[in-house]
Amino acid sequence: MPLNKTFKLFTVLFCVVCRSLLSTAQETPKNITVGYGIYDGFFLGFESPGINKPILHRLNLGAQSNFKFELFTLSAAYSVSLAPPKRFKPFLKKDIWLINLGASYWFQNDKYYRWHNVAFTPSVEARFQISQTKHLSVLLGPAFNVVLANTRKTTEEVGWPYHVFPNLKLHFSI
Amino acid sequence: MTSRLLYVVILALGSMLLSCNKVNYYPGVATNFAGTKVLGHRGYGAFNPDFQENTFLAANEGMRLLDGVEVDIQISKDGSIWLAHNAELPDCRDIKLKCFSESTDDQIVALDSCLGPEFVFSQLEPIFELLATKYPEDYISLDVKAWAPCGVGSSDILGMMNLVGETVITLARKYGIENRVMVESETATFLQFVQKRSDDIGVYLVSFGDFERAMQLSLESGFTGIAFQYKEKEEISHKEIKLLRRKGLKIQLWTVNDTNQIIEALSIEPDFIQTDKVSYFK
Repeated sequence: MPLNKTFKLFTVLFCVVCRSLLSTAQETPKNITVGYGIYDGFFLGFESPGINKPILHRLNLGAQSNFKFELFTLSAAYSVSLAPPKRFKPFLKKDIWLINLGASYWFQNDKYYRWHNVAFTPSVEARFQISQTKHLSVLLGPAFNVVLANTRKTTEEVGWPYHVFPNLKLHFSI
Repeated sequence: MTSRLLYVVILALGSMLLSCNKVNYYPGVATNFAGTKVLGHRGYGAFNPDFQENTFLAANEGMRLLDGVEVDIQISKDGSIWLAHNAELPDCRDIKLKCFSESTDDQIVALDSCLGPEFVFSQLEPIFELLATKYPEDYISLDVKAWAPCGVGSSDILGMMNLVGETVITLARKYGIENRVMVESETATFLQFVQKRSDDIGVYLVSFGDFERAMQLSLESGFTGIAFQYKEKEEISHKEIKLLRRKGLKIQLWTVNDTNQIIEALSIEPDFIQTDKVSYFK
């Protein structure tokens, strides 16, 4: 299944989202964010605006590899964190909970295939304030995966990315 | 706060053990390859001047000369299985039936009579009986296609396809030939229906060229194998067939008609070849 129009369309859309996000965030303060996620790998990015605003945009680029470097993943992710609906506030003991909606393009190169995928990652986020400017967020939820394209490298194995997989992500913002 | 952060960091490090491969690789399954079987496409070959395709006589001749046959099947309003490639029925004088699923068996027989000896409709059951009594080692592959409804009464296509599946299973059990009957279809839900109700009938996913995806879907659903359109959109080689076999799948190649293609197809060792060129094997 070669790279196709869907993949190219997704790339264009992602660039448009990044460009619009950068332009709207130009005049608002931004935080650098680093962290690790199952679908993102080790990533670096930024989030805006500030922590007290109801909506928080995040954009990050990531990579990871296994110890032998036989499996290498690159990712580009965008997500939005929102305060939960007011009706749930009485049930939430602490004011640290958010809902995060995100999408991550991830590319994996392993021994047998090259994969181009999109993972949709709705999550529950818990944010811990460490200092005035630093905070740590933990996100947990399912990742719904869609394969955009794949290229077979050898005829040794047959596989397909899991359609649904757990996703854990740590954001450290400074 | 510090201990909470510590738990979070430990959780993240632990998740790294899960995170390296998000791809599910299917396990290998030991299978036997018993040699390539050749099936007469539509009985004795499509458009063959000697025998009308998808008829009892064509199937009999195909089974006599080859290892079995492939036929296309339709279901009547009465629930009987008839052999035909298309769901629509031709007109004849004042007999204007729309399609098999909207016509009773008597109406189909009347149409058959009207069309004369040059055109024949055959039912599946006599062919199953033939397979059971006269050709105890032959195979039959039944091509089941979804169709556009020709009337309100037959608009539940999936339901009717499932009825086809039930009838095929009943007939195969009646004649004790389940392990020599295969069904092939592009409709995965139909194949899953047959698979749940019979352990012995082979279920093959029809693929028009995306071998990788067909193989993956068949593995995910636990089908017997794939029925692959040979040399149309995608080439496959012995390596791909070996891989497929290592994962426990079988493959039918259709339709292999050119002499050079037949030689090449036989060399890559598929489980079944469907051919119109029956004369090559005479």
